[in-house]
Amino acid sequence: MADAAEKIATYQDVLDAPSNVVAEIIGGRLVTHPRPSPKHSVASSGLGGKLAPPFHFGDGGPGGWLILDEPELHLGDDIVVPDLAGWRRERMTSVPETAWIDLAPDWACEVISPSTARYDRGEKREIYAREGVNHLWHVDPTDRLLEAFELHDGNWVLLKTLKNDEEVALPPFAAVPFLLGALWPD
Amino acid sequence: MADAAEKIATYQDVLDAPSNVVAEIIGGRLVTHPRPAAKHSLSGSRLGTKIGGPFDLGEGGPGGWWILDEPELHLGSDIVVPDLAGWRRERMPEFPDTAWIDLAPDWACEVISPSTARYDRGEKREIYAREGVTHLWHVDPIDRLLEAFELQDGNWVLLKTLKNDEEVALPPFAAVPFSLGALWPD
Repeated sequence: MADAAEKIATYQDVLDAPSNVVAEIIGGRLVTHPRPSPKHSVASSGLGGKLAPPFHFGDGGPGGWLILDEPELHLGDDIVVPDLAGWRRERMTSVPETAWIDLAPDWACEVISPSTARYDRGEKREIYAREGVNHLWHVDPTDRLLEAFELHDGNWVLLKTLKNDEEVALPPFAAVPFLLGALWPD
Repeated sequence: MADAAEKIATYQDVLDAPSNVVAEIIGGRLVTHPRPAAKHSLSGSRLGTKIGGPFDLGEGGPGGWWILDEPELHLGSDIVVPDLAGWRRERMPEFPDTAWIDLAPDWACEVISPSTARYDRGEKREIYAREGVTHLWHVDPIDRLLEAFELQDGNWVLLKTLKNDEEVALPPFAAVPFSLGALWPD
């Protein structure tokens, strides 16, 4: 909770943030992080590269998803930017004209970095549960781990933790497995 | 899994490890970490104080537990050393005379550090689930978080993530709450 004496952040604060940071509003506070490091980008780009063809475009997979990099999500009073998020097209039939999306995704992925871990594992994970995001992945390129959570009755259940180059065949994208090693630079 | 060509580690490897490291056998491999950093030690020690008083010694609480710092656990072919672990005395009426304990604890706590995170969040968490440890806490002194997991039907359910100096009133030690701030140096 923001201190009562602290100003509650608004969308204007996000718009006014310098363009070289990612700005979010979490629990009423403006939170800014530096843009992702190369290792972080390799992981999110690699994951997008594995998931988008089969699930977004339907190339070699079932399609049916909209998968976006760093969408700005307006969820209640919170404004959060996951590294990747996905919506089943039956839930989001057209892409909004706004700069943001206020429909909670079906899947979100955070690439954990030292500057964002406390939010990723803390308040952002709680926000995604509150908003009914069904699946949440945490990718840690430092430790080469993927933690996959599924929402059950409002609580996160850890489905699986994968490491190094293990095969990823996890909901909601179990139909087209890939190797976790694709997310690391070497 | 250890590579087939790699020697499977044995307890002798743990005994032969230098005395300035923590030695474990995880999935057949010898894994050594440096002794915990000061900030890590403080979190583990303070948590031991907060829980050991009321739950082990019965001072200001119900007692009924053995709470140990860094016990050497022999669980199947794995040898792991959590930062803290607790056993209900009804499950371990006799305190063991050996240097190790081969009864899985009811509660384990890992203080996450950069050198151990990949095991704490990876294979060690899977080992505790396999062995039926009911509650697992991950304390992160860098990000000032406590993640509390409960085993349900063989899967870890994230009960709660607490931060900074929020009140800790979590199973199996919900009876005597304390402030999470006690675990950080300032």
